[in-house]
Amino acid sequence: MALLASRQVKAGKAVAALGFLMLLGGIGSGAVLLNTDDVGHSPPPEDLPAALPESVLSCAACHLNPGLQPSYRDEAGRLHQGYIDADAYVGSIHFRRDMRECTDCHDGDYSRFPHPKGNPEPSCHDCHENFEEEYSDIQVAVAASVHKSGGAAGAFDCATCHSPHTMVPAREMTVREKNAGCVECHEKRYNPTGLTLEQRHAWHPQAALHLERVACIACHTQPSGTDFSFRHNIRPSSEATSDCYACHSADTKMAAYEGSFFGGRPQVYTRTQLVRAYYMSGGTRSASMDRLGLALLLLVVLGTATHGALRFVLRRRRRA
Amino acid sequence: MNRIYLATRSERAGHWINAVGFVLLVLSGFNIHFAREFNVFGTFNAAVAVHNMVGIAVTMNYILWWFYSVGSRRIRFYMPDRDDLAPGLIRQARFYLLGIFQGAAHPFAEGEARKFNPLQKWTYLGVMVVLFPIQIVTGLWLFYLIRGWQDATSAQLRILGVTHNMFAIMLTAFLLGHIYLATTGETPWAHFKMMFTGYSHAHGEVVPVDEGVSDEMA
Repeated sequence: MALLASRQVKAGKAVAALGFLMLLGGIGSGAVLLNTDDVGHSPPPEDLPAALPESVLSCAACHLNPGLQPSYRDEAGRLHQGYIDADAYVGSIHFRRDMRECTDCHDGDYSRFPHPKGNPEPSCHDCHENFEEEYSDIQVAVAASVHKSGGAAGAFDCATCHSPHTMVPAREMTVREKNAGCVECHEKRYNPTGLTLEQRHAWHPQAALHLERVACIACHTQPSGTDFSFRHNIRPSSEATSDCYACHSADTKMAAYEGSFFGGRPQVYTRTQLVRAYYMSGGTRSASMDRLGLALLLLVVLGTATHGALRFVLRRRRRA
Repeated sequence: MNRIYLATRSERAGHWINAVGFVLLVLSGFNIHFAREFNVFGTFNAAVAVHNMVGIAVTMNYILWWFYSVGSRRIRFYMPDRDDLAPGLIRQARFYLLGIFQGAAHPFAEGEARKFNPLQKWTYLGVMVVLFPIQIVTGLWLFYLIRGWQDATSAQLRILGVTHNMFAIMLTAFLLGHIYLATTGETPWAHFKMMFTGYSHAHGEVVPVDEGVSDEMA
């Protein structure tokens, strides 16, 4: 009985000690919270790129905040991604061309939250006056693509894949950056099969390697014409390249793309430049080295054949 | 007729494993390099699979060769002596260029102390000590990188790929020359038979019969 009582006393003391510690912790964290000026989750300003203009900082608490990721879908079903990567924004072609303030493109009332409805949506046309002529080839290609003529038709505009906040010219994009646009949707928002990218490409003997190092469009578009607009004509998966030789051969399809296999600055390569810059089994052969090697082997075959024939003939003559 | 025991059972087994592997490597290697033009294995992937598997098998066979040759001290047959260098090489080369057409005897008779003529010694040494190791190292390294076990840069892959290619051509040239020169025995088939039976019917000068028949390590 005494034993039981002493156990109860011990347990009671332990609970009391724990309660006291929790109380201390609560007071401590409360004090920390009270000491914080900023109750929200905005990143501290020193984490933001110095190049950002002062006016952007008032939007930064929400729109440059990776923890918040504000986004919405409009009536057409288009997703509007409200989160902007601050570094990518500063590096984007629009920022570099002096479109730095949010209000440079976004007209309207953004002083309150939630922002009032009816603010005009910025359009490429606002600045790109010759947009139709300049990008007509690309628009034709997009219209023919699976994105516009397939089941998801209509929910696409330029910004769906190319966010004006982060976009850079294609030749400046690494493979990872290029693929990020595709992966963003097809891993998460539009994935009817429910399979991961790796699972969907499991038929490929080097799936992981190719997913990491080759642009999605290298297989999912088919070169045609003289310009590069075909790269916007994403084909249905049934028309994607599945023939290894399309790339791993002397007349490699890769020559039609801006090459960036390993994260370097992509550019359009001629066959010779491609061979010099990259290694792709079967696809980046040096024709002159091939000829040299084959010539050497041919020489050995001819040499031994001649030697053998001579031996045979002369032996017969000796015997005769 | 003198019978000399030239190739032990282990040497013959190793030789023919290597020979079959070598031919498969050349064919699959050409299939991989000239993917569309020389598609003997049906698919690129099949050629890659064959090349990888056979490459590893031939590498292990090559390591066994070192253990056997050094362990049995039969590596001594490959070691050139002073006569083998310039004068021996020249004599053998002269034989292949002139003597062989006139029915002259082989200048270096096989015997207890000699398995190879000087040209063979130098060629085999070059193949076993230089070409093979370079091919094995570049091949395994490529395999390692392409499997994704280590991040590869295109510069690395290019240097390895081009080196592997160059030495593949040299080894293929050796293979062709080797098969042809194997027909220069007493009869065109003599050397091939020897490589199966282990026994050579001595040609050239008469040499004492090798007593050390059971020179095997097995």
